[in-house]
Amino acid sequence: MAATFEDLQNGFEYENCNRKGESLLEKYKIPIQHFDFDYVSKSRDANELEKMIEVLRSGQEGFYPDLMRCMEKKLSEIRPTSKCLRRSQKVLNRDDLKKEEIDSISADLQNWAKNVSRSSKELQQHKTDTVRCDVEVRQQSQQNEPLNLMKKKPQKISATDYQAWDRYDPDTELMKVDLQDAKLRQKAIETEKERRQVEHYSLNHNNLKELKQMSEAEANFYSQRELDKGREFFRSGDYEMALNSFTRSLTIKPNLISYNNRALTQLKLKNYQDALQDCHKALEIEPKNLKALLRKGSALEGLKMYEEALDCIDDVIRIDPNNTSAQELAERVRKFCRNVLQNTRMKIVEIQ
Amino acid sequence: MEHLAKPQIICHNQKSLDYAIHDVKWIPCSAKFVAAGGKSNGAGIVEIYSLSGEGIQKIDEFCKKDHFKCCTFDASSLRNRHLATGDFSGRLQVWDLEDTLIPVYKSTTHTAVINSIDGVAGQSSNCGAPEIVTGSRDGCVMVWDVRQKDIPVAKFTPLDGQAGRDCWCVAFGNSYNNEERVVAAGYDNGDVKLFDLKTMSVRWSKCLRNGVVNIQFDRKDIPMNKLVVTTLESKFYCFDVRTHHPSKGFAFTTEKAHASTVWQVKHLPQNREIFMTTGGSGSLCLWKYNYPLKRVENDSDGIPYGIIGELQQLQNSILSEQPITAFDWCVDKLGLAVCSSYDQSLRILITTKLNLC
Repeated sequence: MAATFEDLQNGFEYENCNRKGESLLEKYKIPIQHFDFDYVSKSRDANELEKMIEVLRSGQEGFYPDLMRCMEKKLSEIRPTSKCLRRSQKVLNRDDLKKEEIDSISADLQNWAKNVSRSSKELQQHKTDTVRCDVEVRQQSQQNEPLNLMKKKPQKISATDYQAWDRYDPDTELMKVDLQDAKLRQKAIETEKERRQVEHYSLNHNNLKELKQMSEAEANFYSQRELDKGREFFRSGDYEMALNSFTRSLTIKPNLISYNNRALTQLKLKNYQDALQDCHKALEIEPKNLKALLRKGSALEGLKMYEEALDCIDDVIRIDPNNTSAQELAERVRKFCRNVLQNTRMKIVEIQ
Repeated sequence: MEHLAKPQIICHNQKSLDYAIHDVKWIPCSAKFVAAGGKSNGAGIVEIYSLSGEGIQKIDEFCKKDHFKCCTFDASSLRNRHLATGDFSGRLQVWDLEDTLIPVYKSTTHTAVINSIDGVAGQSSNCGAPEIVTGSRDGCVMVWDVRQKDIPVAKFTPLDGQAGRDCWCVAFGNSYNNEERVVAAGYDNGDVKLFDLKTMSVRWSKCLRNGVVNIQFDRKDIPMNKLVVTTLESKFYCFDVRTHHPSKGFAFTTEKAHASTVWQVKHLPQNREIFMTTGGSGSLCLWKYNYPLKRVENDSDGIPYGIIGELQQLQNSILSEQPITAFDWCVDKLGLAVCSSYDQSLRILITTKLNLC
């Protein structure tokens, strides 16, 4: 019943929008025969289905709830991300949840609030009135130009202005356009170069002094923020910048997660030796850390130390026998190991 | 199964207040937040609330002469956590929440209401001086440094003799080292401008079809990556601001949502690809940006241009009858947020399963 009402409302909106008086069906030029269960079930054309759903939802052609449901089901199969299938729902309230769920959320919040309040108190003890910053106050060198909010129209030569047209030389004008294009191109290439440099922006070590003054709570906060940033860079494929962020996180406060993440980033950048070192650091903190062991295995594989890699992966499989990536890695590495073995194996020659 | 993995938005707590709430913000590194607004008699009020497992309790409040329109903690260090506010008569004030008799810093240069305020570099190191930017109805965008009294450190004003357009929103970005920094500003006529604070010039500008209600970079302290701009009449734009092409400009995509004004856009502090938009119909939409396979391609002249990815709607929920005009994620706890709407109520929201996205 609720759906019916919604659909009618939508239809009302469409009728209001349509000024020319043509129906959606006419606008989209979909043959009426297509509005058929058989056709819909065989259809592969998501775009057409979307339009057909829109037509039905408008209510202009009448009300066919079963056909619409059938279309929506079909569309969800061929294009699950379609905008037509977006449905709003009510925000869940306390009453909609089970008691255990509310209790677990509340307990989690309570726990977090307690922890964070402790760091908050710690920060309060370090309260100062001054702003500590090495960077100078921005100096306004020149009064920058005020914004011109009116749109300037390019000056055109009017058709009857013969003198102006006499002076007009198409060749020079064309040259001007070409020159401008070339300039733009040059500029674009330069900015691109700058951007490349940005990606390699290096770590500033001049804040080490500041680090020592950092309280525990601040160190945790900054370290976590850099870790988040690093993960984002990693996800978007900017491994260099991810590496920088993880390194910063570690400089502020060494922690297992950042070591693990940096190891993975080093693997992606094919710096296997560095990856190996990070894995060792991570394993120092937690000797049986699954991810660290797995990445150590990959790093060793990259360094072509297959036997050591296999040992490492065996450890992983012992802890978690169902780890698929470990098994794949083991398979890959074992091939190489067997090659080594095959070479040393004595050939069996049949003697008659 | 897929349905179960979808993030759910849960309203954990709700509280009705007796004044118009214009902005809400979490106090960094604490379980507290502030609500700023104004009473019906014209006085401005800031209230401080504390969150615990059971609910929210008011700890403190202070009243001043004019309605507070906007506030931010982003330009203040973790140790101080001073609140910068903009009010209806154009005052910029910075408050020490423990001693609110007189502001730590103040300026009255703006002649009309400060619509929007943003801070930078307070809680991250190696990205320049802490600064505050304000955008006002008088058409000016000003950048402030609390170490310099009375005079803004940068100013973007309309030409003399021209009526400035009402500036509705401002945001910092691209602040990845001590020199680089930009301010993005949105105006009521649909203009979006990107001011470069290093060169003090307009770096980019574009006119969208409708008034620009809110604007935010996905992160302030990285080389600028993505910019989301929300407008009146249910449309919002997502620009990839990594690569600029001389004729194509920035690549962008648009989405329609909420069937009314898109009031706010707020990126999740723990994951910049996820953001929430809030609408005039009282709905919340959670989005995720998926990058294309290749972000940059070269055109026939060898000039790089950006390629936009796509936006995926993770959740679309209806929360209230009235527009949700302020929203803030908690930096310290994944999925925790506070929002306020025109029905004068505060709500604590919890979004689950964000780490799985």
